[in-house]
Amino acid sequence: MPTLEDYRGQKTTWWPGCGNFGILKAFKDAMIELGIEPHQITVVSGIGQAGKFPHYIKCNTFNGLHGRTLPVATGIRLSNHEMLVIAVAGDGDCYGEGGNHLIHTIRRNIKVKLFVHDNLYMTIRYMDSLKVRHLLQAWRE
Amino acid sequence: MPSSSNILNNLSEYKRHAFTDSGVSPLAIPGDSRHLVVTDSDEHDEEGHIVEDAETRVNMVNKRLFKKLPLIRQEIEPPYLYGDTKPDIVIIGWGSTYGVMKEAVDVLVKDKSIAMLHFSEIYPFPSTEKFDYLHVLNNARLTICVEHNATGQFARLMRAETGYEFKEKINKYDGRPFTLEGLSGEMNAHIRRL
Repeated sequence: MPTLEDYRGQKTTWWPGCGNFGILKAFKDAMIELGIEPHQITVVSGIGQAGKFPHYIKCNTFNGLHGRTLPVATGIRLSNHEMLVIAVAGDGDCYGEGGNHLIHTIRRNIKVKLFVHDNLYMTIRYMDSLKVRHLLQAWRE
Repeated sequence: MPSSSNILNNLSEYKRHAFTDSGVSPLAIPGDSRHLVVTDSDEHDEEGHIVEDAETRVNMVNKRLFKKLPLIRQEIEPPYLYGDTKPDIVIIGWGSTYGVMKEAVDVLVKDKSIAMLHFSEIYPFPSTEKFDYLHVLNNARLTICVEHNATGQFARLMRAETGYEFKEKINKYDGRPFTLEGLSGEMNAHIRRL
């Protein structure tokens, strides 16, 4: 059975308190609970903070181009039907840059699991911490 | 080539982008073994993880550009020479002009020393080791570069890569393909001036 240590990845460059940490922890817990070994999955991602996700776990990884997460995931599913393929994208990467791919991947229904990080659409990357804090506060209120 | 799993079985730790003498890293297939295959479109370390440090960046550029690219160049197909083997006149082209250029040579070769030099792979630019196409061009009296663009993009690439400048150019940029009559007519106009 895999342990948390088996899934330990690179040191993160996310900001302290970033919501992505929660997703990371939940993901590792789920894999351990399901008894899935790192070599049995491939995690595909695009560009952005969510795009760095597979580096922070340990697994087969394809960190490709912005918005092109699902085409790569489709290719992997086509070439290896046994492989569990998980696609990770930020909301900008998935709905903006790669919105067309999302629609076609839904239509093809290729059994890829897609996780979209709700990052308040492009804000984390481009705004300084103070602005983000204000925004988060306003959003919570 | 031995199957990837044979090489990989002896490895305790697999790195998709490992530094090797040749610059080529062993290829593992995800799901074939317990080895993890990690890759990134951004700059990455030997394991395939995204990095930003200058030292790894330089080492990776050295690996790709100075070790792998020369190996790829050795596998690039040299241009295809069709027609007279020691031609006075050479028409040069690339890609989809192949058919019409070949037909034009078939028509004109009856009473002229003419050949086609057709490039199908241009990056990295073919070396002259397998076939010295520059020798053919230098010994020709007339060399015409036939291209479907206004600026002579291939002619410029040829000059940049080899220093060779074609004597004449035929550029067609009206959005329509070359016809045999059109191309051989333009070629004849150049040939008459010889």
